[in-house]
Amino acid sequence: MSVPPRTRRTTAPTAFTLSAAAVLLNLALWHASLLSAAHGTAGTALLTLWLLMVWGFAPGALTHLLVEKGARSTPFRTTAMALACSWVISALLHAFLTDPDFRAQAMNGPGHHHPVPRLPGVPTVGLAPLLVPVSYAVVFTVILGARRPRPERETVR
Amino acid sequence: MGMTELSGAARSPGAFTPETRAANTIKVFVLTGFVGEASFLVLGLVLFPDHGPLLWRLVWTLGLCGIGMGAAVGALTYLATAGLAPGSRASYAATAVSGALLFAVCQTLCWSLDHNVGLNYWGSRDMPALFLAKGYAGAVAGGLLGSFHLNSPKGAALMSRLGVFR
Repeated sequence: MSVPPRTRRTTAPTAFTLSAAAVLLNLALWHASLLSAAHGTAGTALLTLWLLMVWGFAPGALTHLLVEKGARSTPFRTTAMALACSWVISALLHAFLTDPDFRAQAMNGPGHHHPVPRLPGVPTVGLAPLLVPVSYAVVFTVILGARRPRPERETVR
Repeated sequence: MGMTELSGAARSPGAFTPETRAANTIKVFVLTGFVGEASFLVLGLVLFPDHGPLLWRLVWTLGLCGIGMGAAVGALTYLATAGLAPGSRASYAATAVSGALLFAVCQTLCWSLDHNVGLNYWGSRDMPALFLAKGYAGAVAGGLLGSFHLNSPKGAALMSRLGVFR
């Protein structure tokens, strides 16, 4: 008689929610700077959605993968790897969204025929304030993952 | 409920314990997104060789779009299918539809970036019809492949052999 595997709460929904909330907070606080590259309402909405997916859900998913993979590793090591991943994504997006020189270099090529404007009077947010909510999300996710009881290795046959 | 009657891929050892289901879903769609974007990158390099530096095209295509978007699609697909028994018809359908829809959303977002913000790495300004057609076709294929690998014994076995499922 088969015994159903014991169900253990996964941190996945929490990881996704925390990470998405961190990005939504950044966008709410710094939308003038982060969304200045978009044109029009539709473009702003699409860019917001793109940022939510790539900057919000993606780091949360990758953090969850690291938490699950690091079941036998120390939380410090898992946190370090997850923070590194999130910070790299954040730094890349921050540079592209707020630095016209970086954006021009990234888009350089004879195939491009449009200028890269710097909007006058738009405050440019630094990277450090953006990393604070992101870092909190990663740390809380790792803490929640580390607090779960370690299950017996059960596989479904 | 239903945990004693798991079917399909759930019979593959280690594939669908409750603890690993979220991670496996994310990994499958990261792999699917990465492979799809790699093919788009090759297509873009062949058709539009002078549209942007290679390094940044790699970063955007493989990094942010392939891994980033794939992870996001996997996360959201997991949330949509977590309550369904792996290998069931409902899980097959929900995974495929969710994956395809989310990849299609990603395609629309990438169109916006490439066309409106101005990357133009993949020719959205030069050949918009091709850009859209290959993107949405890839989205449907990605959803179907993801569902196959997550819900069928053959797909799960392949993922296990590749080391995606542990």
